[in-house]
Amino acid sequence: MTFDYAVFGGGVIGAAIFNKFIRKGKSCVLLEREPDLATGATKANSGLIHAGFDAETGTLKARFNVRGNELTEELAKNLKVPFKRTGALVVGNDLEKLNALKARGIANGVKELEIVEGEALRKLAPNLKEDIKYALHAKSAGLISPYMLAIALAEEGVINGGTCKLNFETVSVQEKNGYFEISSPSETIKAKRVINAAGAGFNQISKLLKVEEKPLKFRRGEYIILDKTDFVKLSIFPLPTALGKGILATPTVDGNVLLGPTAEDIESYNTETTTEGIDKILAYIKSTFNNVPLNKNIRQFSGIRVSCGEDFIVEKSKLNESVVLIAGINSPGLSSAPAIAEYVVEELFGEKNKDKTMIAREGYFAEPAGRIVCRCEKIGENEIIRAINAPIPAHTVDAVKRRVRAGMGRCQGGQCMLEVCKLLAKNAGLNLEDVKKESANSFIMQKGEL
Amino acid sequence: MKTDVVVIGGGPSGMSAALKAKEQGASVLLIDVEPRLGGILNQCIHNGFGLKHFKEELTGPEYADRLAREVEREGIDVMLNSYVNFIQKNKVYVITPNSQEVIDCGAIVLAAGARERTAGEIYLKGKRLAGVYTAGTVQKMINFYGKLPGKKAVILGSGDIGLIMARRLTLEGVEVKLVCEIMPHSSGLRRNIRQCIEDFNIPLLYNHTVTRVVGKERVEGIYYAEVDENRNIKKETEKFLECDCLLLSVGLIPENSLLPESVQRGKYVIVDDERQTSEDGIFVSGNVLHIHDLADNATEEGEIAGKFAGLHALGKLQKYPKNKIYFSNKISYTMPELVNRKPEGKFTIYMRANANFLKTNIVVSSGGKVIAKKFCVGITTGEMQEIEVDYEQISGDIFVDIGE
Repeated sequence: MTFDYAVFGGGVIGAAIFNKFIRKGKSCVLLEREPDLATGATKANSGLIHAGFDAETGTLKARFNVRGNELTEELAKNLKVPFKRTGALVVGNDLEKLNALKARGIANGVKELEIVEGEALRKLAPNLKEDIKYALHAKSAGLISPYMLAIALAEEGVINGGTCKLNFETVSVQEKNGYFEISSPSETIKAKRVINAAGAGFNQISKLLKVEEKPLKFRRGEYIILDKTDFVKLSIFPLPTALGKGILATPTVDGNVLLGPTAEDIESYNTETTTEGIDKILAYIKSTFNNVPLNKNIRQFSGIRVSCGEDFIVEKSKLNESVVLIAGINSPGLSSAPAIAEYVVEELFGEKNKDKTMIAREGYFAEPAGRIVCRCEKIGENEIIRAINAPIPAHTVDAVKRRVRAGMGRCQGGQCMLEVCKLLAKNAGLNLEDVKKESANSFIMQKGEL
Repeated sequence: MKTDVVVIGGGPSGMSAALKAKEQGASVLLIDVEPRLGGILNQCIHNGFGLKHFKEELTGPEYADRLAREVEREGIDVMLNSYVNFIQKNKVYVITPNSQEVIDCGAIVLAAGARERTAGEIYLKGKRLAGVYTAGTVQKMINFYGKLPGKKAVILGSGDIGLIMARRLTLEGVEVKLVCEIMPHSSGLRRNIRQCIEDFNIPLLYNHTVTRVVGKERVEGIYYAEVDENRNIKKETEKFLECDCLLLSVGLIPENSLLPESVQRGKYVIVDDERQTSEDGIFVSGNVLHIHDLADNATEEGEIAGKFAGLHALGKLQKYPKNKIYFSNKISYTMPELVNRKPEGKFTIYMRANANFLKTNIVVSSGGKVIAKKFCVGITTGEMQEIEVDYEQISGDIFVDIGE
């Protein structure tokens, strides 16, 4: 199999670039090591499309965030991915700092920024503690499901002629006759040019490509998820610090509430949650809000933000001009994804022809939905089967969960996980004992019959 | 569609409610989301069911089968694979595999059972790996699917399902390395501690909890530690234990999301002695109302709810003034919390103590006078207590206490 482009990494950045190449009429392959897309930083973040006031003016972060925010609404609509422009608040009593943030936003090109106080603030955030007096209101901020955005971008790419290879662990790359020969243990594909968007795996891929490795740092962010509640109507941040945007309370596009993230520098990629982290979130949230509905707590998780200096790295390799390097895509990476893709494809690779009209993806909606399997989220059997048989098939329990939300509710799959396993076995042609939760060896059950 | 009584949930309580409603002469529709009647009993293949209700010892599926056969014999309409989306007064909205239906009815009995508390709800720390399951999920995995969750298990929590699963896993060749209970006592039945833990020499540690789950792709081990009397972890006692699965038996949560908030107080649903909520025509029974130790008790309660739902739908339910039932701080709840002041007959107050007592009395008073008293040996938090009261003794609000 020979392609114009190969993209390493099926996170939201890789998926956006893959999609953009297909729009330009190029042949492209998306290579992902795991059994599903969006299993790294893309699945574990705040799910926000930031307005763009936070990044230093003139940085790639500022530029891509503001442009990405502009692009996301229509993109999401075309991809049938829910997006809500609910807005964001940065709250605090230091009016000077809030005004400075507003000024930076204006310099970055962010529209609709306003300082609010009094009744207007209470109306936006009824549960905010009374002693917090001011807020910067950014109306252009929004909510999206980060993993659904990545999956939908890749699916649309596949429907329109692209190739997505899951479980593709790159073990060697050879450059021969103007092509990169990229091999997994089971196959070799060829591509003229490549993009390293492998996230936490960036250096492994760079090493195989014989291009620059980068000093990557890992920062863990822990979160608490609440079941559906109207506790907050928009994303509420404290004033930012050197470690990041701070602990926020935000609705998700699906109606849950996220509390977090913490920001802790760690030695290696480790997604454990900790007592210290969760206690920190609880203490902060209780100090900032009234009526915190902690009885709705259903899960905690942590995500790893990979950083490489202060700004994003989106550049051509200095050692091989057929390679583009993308590294350190921490926040606002999700917000920037469509803009990074546009920049990589149009500017760095010069594919400037007009985007072609894409055949739309269908999604997983099924009418009738079939017997309700996930009771908490009211997900029918037929919807799950559609996700399993989708253009990029959902072949793990978590892949199904990301696509249709089976298992995302208050019982956390207690009632439906085994039924999802059974549907996976039947519709994906697997043995029950071969059904995985997420990664290649994350088997749900032991082998053998009783 | 139209029927007198809709019963939501086809477990022991729902089937019993349907049968009693039918006995009153009402037409009944029984709805369940599963492909067969029986509810959670179908996965409880151990024995110990039915001693109270059927006067013989049955397995869960046998108990369910007896009731299901009666339901069939009585010609009760059954709607399986069907999910109740929401309810209103006299209306039930159902999603069937192929359609959406609205059912008009005269009364509703909600008997939708409970779900298990999850790792997230107890803020279990560490990784979210394959191999961490609720005990009921593993029960289903073994008994329905014939598969094991691992070879070396740790169980967190000593609720009845956890105890039953400790024995079940052992019988299937899994090494149960530890059962950890954060409280100083089990919330399970004493007979289960004896028959499932002690008889198999399974280590059970009270005042201990799991502090962290570790592993790469599946569970490879857990850390556990002792807790102090305020349930704070004593960090210096933390130890590692190798295992490949962790079962959680940390409580059941009534699945009462169909009920309006107006009839709930915290996790409890407020009903009267007829199991009717303050929403006219909505009755509740079984684990959705409060967690039962025995299916037999859920059946008994279903019969009460079904009888009065049937009478309500037929317009035969008499109205009486109501009194409240209050309780002391030694009791975590009573069921019911309201009582109709009927001229004659008896009703039963069920309750759970919030501490263990060796020898004591349950005392019910009303209008300054003791109206019922029962001597009990060994009250535990794990076992539901009950006391019978004469309606005619009631002369005002009722107070229930444990003590002299």
